[in-house]
Amino acid sequence: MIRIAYLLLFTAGIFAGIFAGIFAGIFSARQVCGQTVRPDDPGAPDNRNFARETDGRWNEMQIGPFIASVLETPTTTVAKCLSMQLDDAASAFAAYDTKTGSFRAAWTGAFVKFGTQKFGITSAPQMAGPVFHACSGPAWGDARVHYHGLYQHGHRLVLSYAVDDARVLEAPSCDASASPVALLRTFSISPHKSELRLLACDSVTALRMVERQPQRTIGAVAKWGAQPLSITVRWGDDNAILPASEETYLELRFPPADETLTFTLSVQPGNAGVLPPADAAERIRKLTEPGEPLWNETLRTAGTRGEQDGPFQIDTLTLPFDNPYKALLFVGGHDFFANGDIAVCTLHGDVWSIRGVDDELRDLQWRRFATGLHQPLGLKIVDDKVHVLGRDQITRLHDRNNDGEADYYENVNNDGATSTGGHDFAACLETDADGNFYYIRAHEGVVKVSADGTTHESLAVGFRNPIGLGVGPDGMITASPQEGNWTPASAIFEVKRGGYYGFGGPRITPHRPLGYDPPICWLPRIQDNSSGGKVWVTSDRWGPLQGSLLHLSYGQCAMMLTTVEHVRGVAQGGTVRFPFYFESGVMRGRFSPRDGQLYVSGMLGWQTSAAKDGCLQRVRYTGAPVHLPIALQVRPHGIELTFTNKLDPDSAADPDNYDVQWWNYRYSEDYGSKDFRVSEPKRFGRDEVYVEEATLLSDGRTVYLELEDMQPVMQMQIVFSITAADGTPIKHTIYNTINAVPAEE
Amino acid sequence: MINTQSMASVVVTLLLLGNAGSATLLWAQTSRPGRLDREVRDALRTGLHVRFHQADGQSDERVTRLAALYVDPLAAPTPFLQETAFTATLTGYFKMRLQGEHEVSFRGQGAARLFVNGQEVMAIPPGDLSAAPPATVAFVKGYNQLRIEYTSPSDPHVASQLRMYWRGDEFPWEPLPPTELFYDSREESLQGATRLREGRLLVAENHCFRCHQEPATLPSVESLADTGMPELAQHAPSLENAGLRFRRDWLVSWILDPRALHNRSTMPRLLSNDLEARQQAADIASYLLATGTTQADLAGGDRALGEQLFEDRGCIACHRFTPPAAKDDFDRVSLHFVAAKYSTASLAAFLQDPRQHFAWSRMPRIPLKENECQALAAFIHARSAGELPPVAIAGDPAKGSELFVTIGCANCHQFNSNIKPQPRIAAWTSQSLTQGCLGHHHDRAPEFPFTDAQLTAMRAFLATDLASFGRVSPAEFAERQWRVMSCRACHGRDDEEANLPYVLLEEGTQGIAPEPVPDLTWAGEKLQPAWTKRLFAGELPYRPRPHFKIRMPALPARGALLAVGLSHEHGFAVDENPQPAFQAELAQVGDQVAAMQGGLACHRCHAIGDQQATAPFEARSTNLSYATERLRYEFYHRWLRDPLRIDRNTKMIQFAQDGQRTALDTFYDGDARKQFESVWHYLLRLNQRQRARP
Repeated sequence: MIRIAYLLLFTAGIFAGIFAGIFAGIFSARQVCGQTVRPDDPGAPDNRNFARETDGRWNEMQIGPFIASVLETPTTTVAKCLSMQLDDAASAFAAYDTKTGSFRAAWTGAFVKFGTQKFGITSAPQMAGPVFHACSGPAWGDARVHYHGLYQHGHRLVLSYAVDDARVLEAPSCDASASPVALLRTFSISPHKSELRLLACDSVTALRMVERQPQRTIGAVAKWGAQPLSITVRWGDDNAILPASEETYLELRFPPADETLTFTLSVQPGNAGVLPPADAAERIRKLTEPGEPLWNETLRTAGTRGEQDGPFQIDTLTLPFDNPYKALLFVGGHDFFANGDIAVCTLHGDVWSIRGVDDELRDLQWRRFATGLHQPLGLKIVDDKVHVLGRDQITRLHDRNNDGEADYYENVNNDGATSTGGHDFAACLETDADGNFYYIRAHEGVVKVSADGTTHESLAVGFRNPIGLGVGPDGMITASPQEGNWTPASAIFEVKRGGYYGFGGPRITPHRPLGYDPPICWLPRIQDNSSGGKVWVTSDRWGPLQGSLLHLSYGQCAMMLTTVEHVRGVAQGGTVRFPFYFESGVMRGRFSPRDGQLYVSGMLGWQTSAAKDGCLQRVRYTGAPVHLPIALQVRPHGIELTFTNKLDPDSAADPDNYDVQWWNYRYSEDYGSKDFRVSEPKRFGRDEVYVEEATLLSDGRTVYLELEDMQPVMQMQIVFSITAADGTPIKHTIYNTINAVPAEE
Repeated sequence: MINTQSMASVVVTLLLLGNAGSATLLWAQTSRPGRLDREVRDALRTGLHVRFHQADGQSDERVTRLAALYVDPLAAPTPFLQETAFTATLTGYFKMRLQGEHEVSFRGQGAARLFVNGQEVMAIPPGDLSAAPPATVAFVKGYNQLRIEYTSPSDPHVASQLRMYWRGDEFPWEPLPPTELFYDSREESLQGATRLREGRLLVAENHCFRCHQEPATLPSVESLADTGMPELAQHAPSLENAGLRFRRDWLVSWILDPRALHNRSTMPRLLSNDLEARQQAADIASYLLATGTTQADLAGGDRALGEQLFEDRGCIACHRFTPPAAKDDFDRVSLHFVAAKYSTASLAAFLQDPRQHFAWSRMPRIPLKENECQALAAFIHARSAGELPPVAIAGDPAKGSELFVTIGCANCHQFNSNIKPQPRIAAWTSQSLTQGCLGHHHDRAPEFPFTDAQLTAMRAFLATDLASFGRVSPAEFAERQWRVMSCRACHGRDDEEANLPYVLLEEGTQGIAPEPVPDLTWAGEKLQPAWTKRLFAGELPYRPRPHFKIRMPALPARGALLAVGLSHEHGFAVDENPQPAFQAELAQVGDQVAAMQGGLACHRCHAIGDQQATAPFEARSTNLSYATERLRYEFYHRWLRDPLRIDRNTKMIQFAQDGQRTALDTFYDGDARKQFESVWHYLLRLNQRQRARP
């Protein structure tokens, strides 16, 4: 039985506005896309090559058959949008809201166009062709929708959802032989116990049902703007679909069913309409199987081994910047498979696998494993499966036919809100011992997702533009914000459930008198202007540093050892830099299960001294003596610094080899903070702290600095130039924070 | 290598147990060099003490911010000395954070000897100071005694020039940082020389020669104004069109007691405050105001915008609304009586061009749009709460006209070209230095608001032959401007923080501005004087930092010499900016090194010509197209190598983290100096093309 109902949802006036916006949007998009590029004419008085001053390389990249992004369609802005090409020839394209399982737009021409400012990462891509159909309403009404993921078969996709108790598969495609090209949406709906409703079409006017042949086919015509539009649905079983429509929409209703229902819906500009093919079930079956790989080439690079002085060598796993896909390699994260192979994700949507990661790094083999992810900035391998964190979701990548490419992109969890703002990056995917996932983003703070992906919890908030965190072997979570408003300096926080770390203004409670929970340590700009992630030294190959916390500086391409102690339940510590630098802004670090060495990765993107798009480098500890302070403990009248090795007594006990200063910051909505004297809290500047005595303690590697007037301070700077017992000069600067001074014993 | 630590005794004490911490105490060391008694430390001020001597036995002293000197050929080293050869001894302390070895060297012309902690470290014979090899010095932690003995070149046609540099493991050659140079301010001879300079400035700025004749030994002040002390050229504000500008009640009160209405006024009281004086003031006011009627208040004026501008444009750093006599931590000028003085229309007109009637006004001309002037006028008027008693008595313009001459107004102020001022009285004598203006009983003399210290300084200076008026020291002039023009209101320098952030913290409604006004510690080394001249003159066709809300004011009357003085203060000749010739090939490479793609992405934070920075976030900075006309070449390299060493608050990225190599290994194998050099040539090309634009 077919029942037709007409409901009036929108006024014609609203539609007029929408369509005016549609076309204005298209044209303004073209204007935005077009760069004002001055010709490079050497003879002209002004021949600067401004083409090189922007960066539109993303537009030259073969991004693959789909891309997850924020997308502005003619009728709405989609935060978790998946845009895809609809056939091998890229005749047409469609965009879906994966959060609600809703179709959003279809267009022809070209796929998407990325911005050219800031590498395209802070503006949403735009549809690069004329839109012929768009929807804005939720596809499945009030039903509970959960996105399972997408199956990839060559250039074709099948989207998988749970809609209430039904499993829904949708294979978007197009009929390029039709003129004009028609959108085809092939569905498979599993048996279900309650009625389901699919919004087949909205955002139209003057919709009316029309006769269509053969049987079990319904049709409708409407107007999309001034353009006629035909909608045709064809299915194979009697009474399976009940259309309900009004002038502005067409809805398909599916009564409870005991068998799987398959059907195809076509949408074509014009009044004629395209009869959808009758092979819906076969299409779905075929397309959910893995297809042929798209990125067959194995790229080979030769890495380099460091030859610098000192116990740490920086080896470089050379990235295949010059690759046939013009894929950009802004490395957002990496991790190891059990066999020591590596997977890296890149900010522009890819995951690459790397084989041949041995001591010599002579033959690194790169395969493009996955594409189209939403600016991934975190990657974790769990049970030898790659998990990638995008701005939309955590995705588990499956290579079901083991051909070296992912063919099922499983959504582990997409409960986090994806804002449409340009700077809302989700970053740094980590796990704890129980397999729970953690990541960080500005508006949600530190997020915990259960190992099975079913729960999503914001643990703590108040981080300004964070891009990194760390989860220790004992579950200790550390995270960093970036200096700015309500963040007087970059910092390292120990994250506690319910914690608040300042960004957003003070939240004063009896237990939070500062208005924020204090950090382990603040980081002055000279030490770190933009903080990355953290990594705990879990490798026994890093003997003297095992168990230490390492902090990565994105802004300065550097790594720091971080000391942590707890005094009266409050964490505090400091950082000291390692004497080496990386090729790009490092954010992630992992120890290899194969060689026990640290591998770090990073990229360009924001303010950094980096010059390369990305890097993947190994910090190889050679076993030679390390001379670093590995512990800092605040005492009632001074500081104890413990070093990795024994110190020269004369040098260590000479207070003239130490310089100590301290200062505070002002927590305010101003951008960052000046230094404020501890002695005169309203005056800018720093105080010198008189080193009364320097004493080498009996272990021979701990120096006690007796300081005048110990007190809590936001920032202490300890500079020293001493000598190890073996004669090695040790010159470092520690920046630490004193939240609490222990009482006299 | 000289180990100056050896001069100090070192006591090593073996201790068995202590409460130091968890482990047992093993070694302790006490007694250190480089320490100063608290009394000495309290007397230290930043800078070095310079003693000048000449062959004729003449000497002078002053403070220099840096271990640097520059005296033009045929010029006197200070205004109090002759234009002949001299020696200069710079003494003080160089404070070190840690003990350690560093190299030191000199640049300039002349002869120099360097003593550190009493030991001679270098002795450079006459000639090119940079020809001498560097010396290695083991500095102690704390205060190292520094003594530089400099002898000017024997050839008077060669400039006297001295700059001391140092370098260490982590930084290349750089001038000794002025934040770490100290002198003992208790030196009486130095205090005396400082007093003379104070007196010299007071005599010039208070226009003493408007009423007094010069001593017979001195040329006319008019002739000195062109070649000698620049402040002699200052005229008091013109009273032209006073009637259009000032309200009558205010003018009467002003004539009676200027200091009561303006806490930094230098105008003397010329009348007592009795009834007769009030009548006389009313007469003078009537005379001056007969030129017109005060402009009416503006109808509009956006007060809210005015309040915002008062902070954004930096007015708040120099002005306050509390009464003139109220204490102010920032020594700002009170605007308490501005509404009593001006209508909003005349105030807006004043803000548009504060120097229209007073070229040497300390109120700078800040580029403001007309609506901004009106908004500021509306806001200032609303906040200016000072009320003056209405003047009920009528004034007689004719009597006022007479009084304007007889009490001496006409000696300083221009008003009417037909007026002839009173003849100047005889030059002062040693006996008259405690009488009249300089006495405690003024009788009929103008009553200046001099403090006792100022009186002492003026008396001391007036006891000299005043020949110093005929000489100009650009470096000393620049130093005076720092104080007189309240540069510190917005700029920090050495250990002095700018007032503006403090003021905004305490009184602002919008918090500290995100853009820090440039610190001036290195300004004389950093900026090319030819550029700073244009900046101070208000002649730059662009704003160096157009994204700043605050505006750098123009200082046309002082700017040219100030630009020279800043350079000399750092030991640089005005045109000293040695650099290799432009090489097009290097510029091509530099273009790529600086590029967004595959380069250091300079355009991310810096504009190029009219192209805005692509992704500056909070680090938007100066326009690259003007860099090479603004910066000295060597400073550019110093800045690029380690910007945080020069300004720890800068958001400029340190591309060469280790000082040697950048992360960009595709050019010159990452060699930072070579890459920065190529970028300099690229910047030269940008500048050439920017200049060629219509």
